[in-house]
This record gives sequence, structure tokens and C-alpha cells, in this order.
Amino acid sequence: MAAIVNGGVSGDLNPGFAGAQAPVATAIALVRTTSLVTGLGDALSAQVSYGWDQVAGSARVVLPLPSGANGDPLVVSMGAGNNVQRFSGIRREDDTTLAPHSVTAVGKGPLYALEEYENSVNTSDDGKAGFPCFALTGASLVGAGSGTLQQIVVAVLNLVGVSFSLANLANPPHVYGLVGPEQFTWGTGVTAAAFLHTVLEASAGYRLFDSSDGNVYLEQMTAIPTASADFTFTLGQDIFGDSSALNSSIGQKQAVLVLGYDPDGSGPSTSGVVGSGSSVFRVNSQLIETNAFAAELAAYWLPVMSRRQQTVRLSTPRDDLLGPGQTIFVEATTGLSVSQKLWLKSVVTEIAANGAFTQHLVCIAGAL
Amino acid sequence: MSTFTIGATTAAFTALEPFSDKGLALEEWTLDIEVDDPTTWGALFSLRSWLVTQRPIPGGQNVYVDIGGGAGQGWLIVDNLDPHFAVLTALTRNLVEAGAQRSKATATFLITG
Repeated sequence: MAAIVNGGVSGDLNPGFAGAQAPVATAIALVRTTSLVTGLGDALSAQVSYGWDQVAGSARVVLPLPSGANGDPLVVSMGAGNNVQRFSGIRREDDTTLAPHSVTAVGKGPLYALEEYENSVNTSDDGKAGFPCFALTGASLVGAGSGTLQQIVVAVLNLVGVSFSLANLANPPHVYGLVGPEQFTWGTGVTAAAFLHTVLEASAGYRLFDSSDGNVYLEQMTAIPTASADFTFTLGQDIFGDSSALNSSIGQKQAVLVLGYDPDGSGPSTSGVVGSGSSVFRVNSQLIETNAFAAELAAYWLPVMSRRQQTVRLSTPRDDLLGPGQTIFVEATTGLSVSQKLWLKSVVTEIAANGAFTQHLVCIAGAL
Repeated sequence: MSTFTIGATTAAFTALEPFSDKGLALEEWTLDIEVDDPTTWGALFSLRSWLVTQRPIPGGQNVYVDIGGGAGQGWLIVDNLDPHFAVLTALTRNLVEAGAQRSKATATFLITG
């Protein structure tokens, strides 16, 4: 006959443990109910990804059965209390598994239009087939004889049809096109993403990306962020065990040489070698039109390249709305040998098939 | 008598031995129980949670318990033991007595506070 548990005795099951009336475990449970809403009906799991190393944000939603179709809007809201929208885009792929049957709906964010838009204009009269970026007269992308990085980005976004807020686009003062405007001609058949990539390569570390809040950003990524941290992650509080830190001197250079516009073969605009050392990091772009701008870019690149690279891959249960370009402070001296600000390069937010909510961050900066 | 309560729903049961107290990051109690009638069994069944994960944070005390479905966290009182917040993560009915109302079952509770 079964006995009734502890029927006549008051107290905890483990009175020998310090504090007889307290729960035995010293662990503190943080109980959360996770939520996943996709607009596609029941979803088994979902993953949203953003980063300045990808053209546009993307989402993967695993469904138990087919629902909806390619071309449909795809909106993903999820969290573990902070249940907010984390993706809005267009469903572009279905990835079907036979058994256990599932359909993974893959969505791309609005910035993906840059990848699909190809320039079909060929009005250039400067010998290069394509669409002039700058022109004093006649049609051009910017509509002027020269322009800033922000003006170029705005013109492309407008042309492609991507919504943005001007306040989220940095506006560095350098004016392009004053010396060699023909170098900026947007080649026929070249995608908007490729064109902008070429221009951004000739900038002081500016990146164009979209984020989980639905906005498009143009931001400069310096060697080490200086602004106040948007979020702090602390060992023992909100960093999972599969996190890692890489402190690398591979690729580290103590000197930078920026080479630019060379219209007649007489020699490019140049910064000269900035810094010291036998190993030189080189930047080469015909869009760098003057020695002064080359020197400006060298001044940007030297502190970036002369430091060891600190990369922190961090998993966290926190459900804050994270996005690329945010400043993250990682306080994990004992476990990861990291205690510094870093840039959030990319973030994957997911609710896994086991119901757990996790965000996976990749943070980078020059090591201190 | 023992009870497990979530919101307005309370299921009463009798806790029996054997009683397993498994200590992972959080305690997990597994105990045999008797439930008096089908209505109470139904109430207890409705208080289950599933897709429950517990993930400890290294170097600290925090354990994140994510509940992907079901009733969620409740209030567990087992006889005269100290009450605890708990999540009913498994419920296995071992015996339904023929012609009777009573059920014997095994219940697993994740102790969360």
C-alpha cells in the first residue's frame, strides 16, 4: 500500500539544507511564457536575422503545413514577455521537408529590393555605359554635379522604392563627384546593392542595413564604439554557456595606404603610408578623388586595422529588440576575458522548436 | 491533501510515495498521486505545460525557464511541505480503477520558486 508523502511533518523536503523553509535549490528561476505570432497560422519555430554583413534582414518560419504563398507579406512577432514585431517583409521562398512534414517560409526584408534592382538606364555620355550618379546638366541619380554619401544613398533608396527615415541615415560631410564624377556612373545591369557597395567602400566605414525595428540605417562603424551602451550583457546574469570570444591578431596591420582616383595614369590620389610597419592595409577605389579624402580614410582605417580584433559570439535569453549598429557592453572578464563596448554586427532572434527564446549576437570591435 | 493552482483552476490530489526529488539546475519533483474523480483529473490535466526548457546561466544563479505552451506556472502545495511555484511538466495516468472514480497517476513538477 502506498504511503502518503510526509503526511504529518511540516517543512521542506530537505531540512538539513541551510534554511529549512527555503526552496532547496539556490537557483533562481525566471519563468517566461514565449510567444510566436506570424500571421501564417500555427508555427513550430521561427528565426529572424539582421546584420550589416547581409543586404537585408531575413526570416525563417517553420510551419506544420503549407499556408499562404510566396509573395505574401510575412510579419513575425515573438518574445518571452517583450512580444514585439521583429520582422516585416515579403515571403520569397518555401523550403519543404517530407517527414516530419514542415514548410519553412523564408522572408526577405524591404532592403532586399537593392539586390533585385538592376540599373537599366544608359544615358551616360562619358564613355561608361550606365546611369550617371552626378551631372551638372541632364539626368543623373543625385540630380546634381556632386553629392554626399547620404544624398547618394537617398537617391538609390528612392529609386528602388525602399522606405526610410532621413534621421536614421548618417550624413558625413565629404562631397563626392567634384573631381571625377564619371567614376560614379552606375553601370548598366549592375544591382543597386552592388553600386552602393562600391560607394560605401569609398567611405569611412559606413554601413547600410535594416534592423528589427523596421528601419533602414546608414551608420559609421568605428574601431571601438564611444557612445553609451544600448545594452549590457553580464556573465552570470544573461549570457548562455555556448557564448565565445575570439581575440585575434590575424589581419592586424600597423600601416594603411589609401589609393584613389587616377584619371590619366600619372598616379593615383593617395594618403601615403600612414602608420608604421612592413605590413600595410591597402584601400583602393577610384571613388576616392583627392589626397585629402584619401588621408581622411587612412585616418579612419588605421585605428581599425592596428588593433587586435575582438569578436564575441553571445547567446542570451533576453528579449530586448536588438539590431545591428547598436553598442553592446559585454562584462565577462572571468569567463570570456572581455569587458568592453562592441558593435552589434548581427543578431539572430529565434524561438526554437522546443519553445525556448534565444538571441544570438555577433559583436565586434578593436580589442582594448 | 495536495493542490496545484493556476488562476481560478485548482486540482486537488493525494500525494503518494515514491517521491523523486531530482536536482538539476532547478528541482524537479516526480510523485505518484491519486485523484478522486474524473472532473478533478480533467482539471489537473488542464494545468499541464509543454515545451518547457530550463537553461542555467553559467557563473550565476539565474535559470531561464521558457514555457512554449500550456497552462504555465502555478502554485503547488504538497501536504504539509512548503508551498512552491511550479510548472506541471508531465502527467502519466497509470491506473483507472474499474467501476470507480479514482485515478492513480505520476506527476512531474518543475519547482520554480
